[in-house]
Amino acid sequence: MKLFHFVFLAVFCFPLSLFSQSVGYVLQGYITDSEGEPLPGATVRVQGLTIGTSADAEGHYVLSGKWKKGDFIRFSFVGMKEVRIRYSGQEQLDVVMQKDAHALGEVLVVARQNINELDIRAKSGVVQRVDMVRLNSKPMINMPLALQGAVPGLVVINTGDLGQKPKIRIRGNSSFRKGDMVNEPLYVKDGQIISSETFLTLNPMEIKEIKVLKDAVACALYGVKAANGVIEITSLRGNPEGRITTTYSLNMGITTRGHRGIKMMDTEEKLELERRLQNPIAPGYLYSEDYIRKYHAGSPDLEKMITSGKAVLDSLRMIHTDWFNELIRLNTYQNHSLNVRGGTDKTSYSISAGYTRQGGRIEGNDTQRFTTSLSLDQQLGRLGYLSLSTNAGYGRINTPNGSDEAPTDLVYKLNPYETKKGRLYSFPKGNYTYEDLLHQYKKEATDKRGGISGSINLKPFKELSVDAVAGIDILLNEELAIVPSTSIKERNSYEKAEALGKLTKSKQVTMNVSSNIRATYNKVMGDKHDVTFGTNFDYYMTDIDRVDITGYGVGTLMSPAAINHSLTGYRRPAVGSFKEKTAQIGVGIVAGYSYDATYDLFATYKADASSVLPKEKRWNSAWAVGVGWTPSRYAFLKENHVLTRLNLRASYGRIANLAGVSGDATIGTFSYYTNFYSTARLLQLRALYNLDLKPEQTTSSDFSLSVELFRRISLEANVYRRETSDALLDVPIPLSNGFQSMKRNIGVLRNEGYEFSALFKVLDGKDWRLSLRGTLAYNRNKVIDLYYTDRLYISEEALIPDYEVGKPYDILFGLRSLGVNPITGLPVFKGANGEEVLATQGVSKENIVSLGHGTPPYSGSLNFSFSYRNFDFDMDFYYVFGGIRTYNYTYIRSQDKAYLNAAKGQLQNMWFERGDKEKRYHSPFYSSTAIHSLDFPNTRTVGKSDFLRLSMLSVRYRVPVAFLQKHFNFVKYANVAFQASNLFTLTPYGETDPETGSLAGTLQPVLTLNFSLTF
Amino acid sequence: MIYNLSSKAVLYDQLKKLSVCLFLFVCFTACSLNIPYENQYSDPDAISTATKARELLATAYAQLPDASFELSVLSDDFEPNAILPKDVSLNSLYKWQTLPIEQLALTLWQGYYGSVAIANAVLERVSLIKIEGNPKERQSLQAVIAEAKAMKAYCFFNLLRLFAPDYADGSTNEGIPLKSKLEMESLPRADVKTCTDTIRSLLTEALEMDYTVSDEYWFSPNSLYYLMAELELYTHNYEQAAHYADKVIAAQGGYETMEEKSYRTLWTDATCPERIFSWFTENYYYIGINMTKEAGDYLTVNTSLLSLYETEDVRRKATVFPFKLADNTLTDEKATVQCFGKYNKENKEKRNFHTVNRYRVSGACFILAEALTRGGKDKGIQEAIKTMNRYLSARKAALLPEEGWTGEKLLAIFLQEKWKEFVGEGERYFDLKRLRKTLLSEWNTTGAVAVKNVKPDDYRWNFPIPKGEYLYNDRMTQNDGWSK
Repeated sequence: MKLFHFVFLAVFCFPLSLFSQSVGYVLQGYITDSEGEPLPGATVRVQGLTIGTSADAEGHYVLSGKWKKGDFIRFSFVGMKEVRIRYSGQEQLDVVMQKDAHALGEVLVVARQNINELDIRAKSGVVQRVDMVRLNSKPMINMPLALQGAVPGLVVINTGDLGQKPKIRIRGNSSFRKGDMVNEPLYVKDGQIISSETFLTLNPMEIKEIKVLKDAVACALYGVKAANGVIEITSLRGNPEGRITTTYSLNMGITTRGHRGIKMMDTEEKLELERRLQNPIAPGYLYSEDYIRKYHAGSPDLEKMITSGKAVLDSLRMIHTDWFNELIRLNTYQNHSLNVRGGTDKTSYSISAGYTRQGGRIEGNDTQRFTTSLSLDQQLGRLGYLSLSTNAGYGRINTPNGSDEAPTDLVYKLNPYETKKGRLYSFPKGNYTYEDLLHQYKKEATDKRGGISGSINLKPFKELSVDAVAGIDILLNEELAIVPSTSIKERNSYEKAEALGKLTKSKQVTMNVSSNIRATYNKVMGDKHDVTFGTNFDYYMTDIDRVDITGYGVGTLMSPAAINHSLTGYRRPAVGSFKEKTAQIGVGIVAGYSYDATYDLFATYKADASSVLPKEKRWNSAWAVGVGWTPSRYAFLKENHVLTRLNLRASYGRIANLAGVSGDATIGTFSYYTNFYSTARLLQLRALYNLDLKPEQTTSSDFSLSVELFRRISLEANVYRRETSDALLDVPIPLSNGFQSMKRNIGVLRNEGYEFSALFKVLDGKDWRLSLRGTLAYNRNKVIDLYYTDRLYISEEALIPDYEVGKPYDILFGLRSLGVNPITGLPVFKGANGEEVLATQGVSKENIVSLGHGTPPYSGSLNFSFSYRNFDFDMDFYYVFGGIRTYNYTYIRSQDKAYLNAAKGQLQNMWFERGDKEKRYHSPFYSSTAIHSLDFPNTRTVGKSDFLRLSMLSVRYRVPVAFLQKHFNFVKYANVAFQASNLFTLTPYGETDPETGSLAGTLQPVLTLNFSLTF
Repeated sequence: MIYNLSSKAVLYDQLKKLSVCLFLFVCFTACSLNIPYENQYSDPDAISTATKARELLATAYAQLPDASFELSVLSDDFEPNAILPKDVSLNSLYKWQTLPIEQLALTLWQGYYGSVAIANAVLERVSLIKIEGNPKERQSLQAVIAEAKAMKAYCFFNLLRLFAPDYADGSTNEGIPLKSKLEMESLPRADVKTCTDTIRSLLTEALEMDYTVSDEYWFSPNSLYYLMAELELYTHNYEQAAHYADKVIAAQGGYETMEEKSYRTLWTDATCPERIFSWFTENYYYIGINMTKEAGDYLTVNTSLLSLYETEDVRRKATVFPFKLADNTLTDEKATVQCFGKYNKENKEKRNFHTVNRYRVSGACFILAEALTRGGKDKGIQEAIKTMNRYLSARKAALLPEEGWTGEKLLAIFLQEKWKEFVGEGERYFDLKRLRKTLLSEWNTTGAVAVKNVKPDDYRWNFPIPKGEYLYNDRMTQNDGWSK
């Protein structure tokens, strides 16, 4: 213990002698609601004394001080019935608080940042909370990626290297259209709409709560903007209980190399492969006896040449470079977070600051982020509350990936017999050095964010509350990128030396202004009837202003000042700009009724108008109705100890969706670009407009069930179906119209699925606590109807329709492979009637079959939590299954690529000569691009993309309160933890990463040590 | 205490006022939804001046497709280098395989109809522009209208030559859809005769307007006469063709425009009196022939054509030049190769250019000579030889004897000279298509081009209607031989 004491001191350097010891009682425990969810911020006081504390994020509290046995300990939390327990000398006291339906009128109005967050909404809709404790246990800089697996049905897909925006979807796509613009959820922070880019930059330590709104009832308040669901973020607020709490948390650790994916050849195998591929550009053949005997047969020095060739090969054989280890590096991770909260019952505040840095896997890739936030709540007597929040952030991402020649690809290109200093056989024609290859591209991207919002929550009389929030959020994105003159791309261009080196710089300011006003009337009559009426008005404006410059001739200097302004041809300096300002207005009403907390009814209607649409098409609507039923409230079930809670909910709603539709799709619209013809600017017609365009309409129905058994097992199940009619899509039109596509209302699609989650509190004792949680989500989609045709081909080249009535639309199609023909060395495919189809034959429609789902339909998570006394052990797994991904086989080398390294095993598995049987790879003497059938995936070139990832592992030691009281009584809580994220991924997929399909995109394992102190 | 209470009341009062003010402020924060875009103009006021109409029409010019290189690959202009098989698609195009022809057909169809759509958009909007008494503005508007019509004629004519059977194969064959408005339609193909009539009337209407253009990148009245001459030659109206071709040469400044100095500037942006109409490009042009700096070009000039040039011929110097590959595994001698010149030489010698030749005086000479020879007039042949000799002397080539010709033999010589003039510029393909059954039936029987296994009656002479058209247009028919 002394050693620990010493380490503790050494690390934090706090003077000990200043503090004296104190004696008294120490009481600790957990405060939860009836569903077992922790109640962070719940206050604990000793009645009649000034001793008090509040629960931490896990609902855990420690109360210490001097009081007597027999004193009452009071537990209170907004909206919950107060609990009073007589103190009898116990050390542990866990409290379950019950909802108090009637209490709200009496309790003071509480700063409710998100004014759309009506409790009535959750009674019949699907609103799920993210476990912030677990989220904060994941050492990851990318907050959205850390949400992977947090809530069933919230799908987060990693898309690339460190710092890239992931793909986020709630319950899949409810549109035929693809892309973020159309399918992304709406992000709302403290009642204010924020952009997805801002969401990416948030610091999880400054967030109190994240809620995921899935069904029509939950989302309808946000109107047409919320057609893809909503993610509501509530930031940390002050402490109204009067004590100042300071929390500091430090995470330091390393990031490791992670999943290697495919193994590459070592020297011996590679040189032998080169000999067999017979391309003299590769040393394995050029210096071989085969080559020398064949091409220098008549030479008098034949034997000498063979000997010297052998000597060269022998010297190469001495080298065994593992380029994965050379190029993919270990790096560091650190995170500091400081939060101060305090205040009185009149004024409270919270101030936070955080810094995170994560180093990437390859040289030049890293990201860092600095954030601060401040919130202030002011009680306006009995009238209400006034709140003010400000936040600011700075983020920076550096990446060397961006051109065709990514440094990560070098892992697969460089040969094992090459070194960083020596000759590069893998790039035989130009004079490239290892340094040149590493620096093909460089980008520095920064984001600077600032925002302020204010809200007023008034309660002029008991039943009526009037809330208003208004805020502004500004994001400045800057990017500077260079393709240096030494890069392969630039060297291969036919440009003069003074025109080499491309530089781009851009600045974009995104400003969001939003305001929202709500009036809610709530009255409880006769103790049983709870009636709510409300109305709201919201306004949302986005202004994007962008300027970018492109210039050439910078060489290797990363500065716009180095642009060569004397260039006049294709490489003349160019300036681009973009400005877009759009606004939306919404007006809505809600009504809710609840009888004895047993039956709940909810209805809402919202009308929205958008400035991007022409006047006559501007207004669109959304409505929803929902019912809730809680049979466990019946008297005959109330005393039951088996079925402790049973609740059923159903909802139905309709939302119009116009996301991604701009004015140019509905009316002839022209704009200027940077291009020109002779001396004239080009005023381009942006699209072939459709004067009959309508918004798409999504109806969704949802049914959910939640059950609690023995107060230990909670089960929740949701089934949903969303049907979108008048679905919009850019569909191909006859090319003689001069445009390839036009936005049209083309059909009906269905998106349905289920979500299931189970929580089992196995042990719930004083010392031992163990709980298990598992979730599973399934989503599928289907084309129900197409208005103009039965099959829709988006690309003219497609042999298979992209959309076909009765079929899902994320299927990967391809050929059935019969393997490689031992005589010709080319693949043979199976035809529709079982006949053999040769690779050289054209591919016909009939022979194409469905190979599987491109997007995995199943996803979920498994969580494990175990506590013993002061030790907590947590583990999260994330899994997906049911999908496939094609192998790209770029690491299998044919004769003309013999100079690049190849995948291990190619030598055994490749057809080289007549009679080679059971081979996996076809003949290397054919270029795969020469054979059309090889452009299609086939049953042997796809693999299951299933994976199971250990996304979080945390071992935490809570320093005993008694110890802290004795030695460091200025410290309230102290934790030491080992935390790790993405430690490993199990997958049957044999090549790189099953999620992104690229080595650069593999999620990095981060291992850290965490210290957390609360003063 | 009382004081306290009242002060509290005052505070409440003030706070209430403050709240109401804030509330109202939030309510009335600029809620208008009529936000114009900074750089987007919507109908009906978008195209309100002649300048705006010209800028819109300029997009039609800019997006005109260019297949000079690809059409030359199909013809007998080039022969392959050893690296050609590395570009599978180009190699297949060289051999007239169907897949790359389908891709080429798609690019051309899409590009020409794209320009037609813009021309239609211009014509629909200019009729709404009101001009009050400003003669200059009226004239620029006239020019826009004339050029928009010329644009349609130009596109239709090229589409017809590429996608429909030749006029000699029958004027009732299916031609191309003739789009006359911007709105989405599914049009059937009009017959060849209707197409040529439409093109003729579009050109006539355009020529009725009295207008001028600022530079060679726009359809000037003289370029419309050139197009008219080409059209009449195509439709076998030789007298008319000769009439227009003669007019073009005279209006451009006569045969003197073809001097050597002028010829040398044809591949650069310098002014060249020989040019009648050129296309302006912002992008790298003619780079498809090149693989890399290290490997050089996929194709080089046909040796049998190269052997036809006399040493003094100025056309030879423009057509080939020595180039050193940047491959350090080769010796200097092995690294120096003979490359196709013209635009390719400009690229390889790192000179940027924007001008791509379309119509020039020499082209009009060939139309005139051919039309005169075929016209059947008494002095036709003599006139034709005279025209050709004027051209040949400008190019420093041997002159033709003035006597002892049959029409057929003379036409064969003209075509050979035309081949020398336009090698690599795609012109040869149209001559092959037009005359494959007669004068040029032997074009692919010798040398490296013998691998082009296309007989005069082969279906591939008529490009396939792209899938992007017939998949979405029920009224469209495919050319014979091509898969649906």
